[in-house]
Amino acid sequence: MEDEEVDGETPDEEITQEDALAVISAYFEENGLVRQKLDSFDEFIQNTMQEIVDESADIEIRPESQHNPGHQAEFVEAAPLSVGTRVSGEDVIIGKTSPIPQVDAQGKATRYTKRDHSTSLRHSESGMVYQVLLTTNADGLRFVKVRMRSVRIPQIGITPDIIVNPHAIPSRMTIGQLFECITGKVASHMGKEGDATLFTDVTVDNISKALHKCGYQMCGFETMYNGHTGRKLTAMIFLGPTYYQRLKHMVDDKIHSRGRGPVHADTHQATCRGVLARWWKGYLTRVMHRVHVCEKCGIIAIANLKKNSFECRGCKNKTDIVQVHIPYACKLPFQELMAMAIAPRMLTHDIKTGKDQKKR
Amino acid sequence: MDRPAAGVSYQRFPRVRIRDLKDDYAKFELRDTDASMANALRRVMIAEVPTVAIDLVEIEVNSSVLNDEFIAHRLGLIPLTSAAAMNMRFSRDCDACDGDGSCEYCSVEFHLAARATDSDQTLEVTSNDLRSTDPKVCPVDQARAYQHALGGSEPYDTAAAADQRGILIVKLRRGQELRLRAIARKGIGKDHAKWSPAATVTFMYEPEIRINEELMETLTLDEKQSLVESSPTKVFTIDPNTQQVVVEDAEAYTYDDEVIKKAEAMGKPGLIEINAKEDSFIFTVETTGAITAYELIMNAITVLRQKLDAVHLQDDDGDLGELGAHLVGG
Ligand SMILES: [Zn+2]
Ligand SMILES: [Zn+2]
Repeated sequence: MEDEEVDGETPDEEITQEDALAVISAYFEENGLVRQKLDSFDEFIQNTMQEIVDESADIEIRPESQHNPGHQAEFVEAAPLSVGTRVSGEDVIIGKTSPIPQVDAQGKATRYTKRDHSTSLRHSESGMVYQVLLTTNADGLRFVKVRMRSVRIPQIGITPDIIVNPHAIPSRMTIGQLFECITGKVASHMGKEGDATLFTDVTVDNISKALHKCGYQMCGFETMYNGHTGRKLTAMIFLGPTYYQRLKHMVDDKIHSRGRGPVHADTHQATCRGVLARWWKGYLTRVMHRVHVCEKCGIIAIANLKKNSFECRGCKNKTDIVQVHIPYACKLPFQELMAMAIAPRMLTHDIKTGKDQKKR
Repeated sequence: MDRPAAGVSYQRFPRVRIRDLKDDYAKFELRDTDASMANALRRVMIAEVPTVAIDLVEIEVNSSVLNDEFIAHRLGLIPLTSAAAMNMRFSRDCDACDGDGSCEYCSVEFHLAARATDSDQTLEVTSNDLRSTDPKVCPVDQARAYQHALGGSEPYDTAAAADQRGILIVKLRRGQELRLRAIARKGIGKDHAKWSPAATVTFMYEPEIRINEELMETLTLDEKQSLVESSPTKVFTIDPNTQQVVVEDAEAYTYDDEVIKKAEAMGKPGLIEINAKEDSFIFTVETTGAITAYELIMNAITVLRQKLDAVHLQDDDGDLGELGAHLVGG
């Protein structure tokens, strides 16, 4: 029993995502590389609700003041939510309610009198209240604007800043990026500007030689060590400076930005472009496609309907060709398999003898 | 792998040879031990040697362009002289106070008050504006300037001492003001990088280079030359008298494998063999100035020893769990 308890208390050695984040945040905090972020929450109190607003003072700004710095006193006076208040989790930033009609369609009295329409912080976020504005606009609508600031640690790693999965290179065809990377390595080492575009005479060979002169391995590889154990990694790592810009869509923004909509059954995360993807999938399975298949080998044959000529190049077969209707979603992977030198064969003989009337 | 019987000693006697020791820089060799020891020492130096850094900030007035957290963060990163940190208490373990500062055992209070007067000049608020309540703990530049003014022994680089502007915290425009109270506490780099006394601590495995002289004799001088030049760093050279390829600086080798590949490309595999010695390490230590490099190394050893003692104590209780099974070879 006791042993179990001890085990439960020492999960320290496990490397978790949390640990990785701690290292990363330390690195960025150390270097002052934090990003200031301002979020703005605003809420109109619409005309239709004006009467309720009048009778029950529905704008309730929370949470309670905890910290009240001496400056910017004018904002503090303007609204009950004071500037500098620490807010986190799902704290209500702007409280607002709207009335529920007291008698519903069936004539029964409803249980609740009001519905909550408060604006709250996304649950992953935290920060400080930066500005609060409570005013009335030209149309006489009451209007609240709360600005929140937060300090966010960029979501990239430590020494190196970014690790790129090598699979990202062939699919995106950004071979130039690798060239740019070693050019950057040479340029930063020599304190000069470099041009890695294809409009110059510079070749990978030139750059490699220049890199070698700077005291690095020709291809930009470097020996790296595991910081945890201090041991050398067996593989050398391609390393160099790369200019990059923050992606507009970041996981932190995205993952909670949609409250409803399709979610994955096992992860409960939002399905990526769910609706469109599903429509497309449905479309693909619904749409039938006509192909001509060689009866001998079962592989899609060449068909020229205008000249009424059919041919299977593999079998030199020009006569035993059948027409088959298959879903587009079936034809597509077949061709992908063929591109990978795998032969998907449609054996039409049995069907033919059974039904006979699929022949053209 | 066979485990030796219980009672067999694994004890080794590591040797240290100091090559260079300045106040904030040290280079030394560590031999006759293995990577786990060397790396433990390196990691303790980076993340577990305590220093003092600003941790709590109470802002009275801040009309500068930077917001409160930002300034608090910048204050935290200022290195403070931390020679006394080993003997201080962590405020969470301090029983003389409730951890809110103003306690002689676990905290040091700082004050900062700056206001840009009506001149058009921008006021730079730096670490020199921080007023410490304890002369032992102050920003490192202040300590350096103080020692410089005393004209006594000059421990740091004169070039660095000449630059006494301090560390910039914020710039104030006319009429802007910054007034705050800050509490510095003892902490370790594991909790936040601001407590790390190390700027860099690295070690390299000492390379062991073997040249197959017999095979080397089959090369022409030009071939030797191209072999020597294939290494991006100056590891090899050709002796001008004997025209032999000799190792000039083994430690310049970056484990890039270039010479080995070159030898293979020349059709002479095994011409040069390079292996990392498993038991020799060359350390380079550089500190932020919070403590000296010597203190950093010695404190790291003390901390490491304390951690090992904790393991020993557990062993005495006979409650070492899985580790005990490994130790007795069971
Ligand atoms: Zn065929
Ligand atoms: Zn105390």
